[in-house]
Amino acid sequence: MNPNELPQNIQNAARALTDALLADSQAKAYQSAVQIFEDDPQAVALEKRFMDLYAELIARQQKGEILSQQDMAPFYTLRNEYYAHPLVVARNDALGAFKPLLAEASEQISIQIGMDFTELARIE
Amino acid sequence: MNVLPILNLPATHEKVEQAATKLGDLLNENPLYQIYKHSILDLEKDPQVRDLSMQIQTKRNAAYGGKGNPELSAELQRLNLELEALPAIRAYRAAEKDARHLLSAVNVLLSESLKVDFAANAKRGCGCGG
Repeated sequence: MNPNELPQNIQNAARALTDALLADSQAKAYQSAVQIFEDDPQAVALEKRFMDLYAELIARQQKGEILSQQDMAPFYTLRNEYYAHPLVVARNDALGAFKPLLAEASEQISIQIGMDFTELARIE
Repeated sequence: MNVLPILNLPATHEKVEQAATKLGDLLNENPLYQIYKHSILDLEKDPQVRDLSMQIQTKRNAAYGGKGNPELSAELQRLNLELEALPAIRAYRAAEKDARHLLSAVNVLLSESLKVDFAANAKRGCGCGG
């Protein structure tokens, strides 16, 4: 289902929830960390290289190829570089601080619907 | 007046709680979600579903002791197919699919504004970065 096809009252309630979440200081810190990351072309390029290589290796594995240590070495190097990048660290730290509030919100939704929202709502 | 610190939630948290409650209420009232919840109740009441589920569980327990028994595996597969073909199960699968579409559309909406996959990052105790 496209989000635009959701009933208007649900769209409004979802927007009210994001507004409430975004008013929180941890959310603001996370949004700021995301913005700083996105404004840095080097960091963005590093993330793209890392994601592209990861996708390529997964695709090769799915085709039945057994990846050698030689195949994996550039991935491990790039992964270490990516996770050590200060803007990636800052963004991950900010997200870590924001997660408890996301969990509070989802738990509240789960109580109302009688099921685990995070399990049923995974993006397809 | 003294307020215990643990009860003194920041105002933003209260607003989040209220907004999440409202959203949860509306989702719970949604016809697609109601059909899904009813389909679960129907499953629990359906004698054929109960009977086949018990047969499957018994065969599984037997299969656990005799690994790789082809007859038991074939019988389990047949019972599972029979179970999946029952009207109550088919109704449940269809309703679950619709409910998942509904909730994942809400998740997309939340995630786009928050710049993070809401559902994936809202699990308690997830130390998976993100």
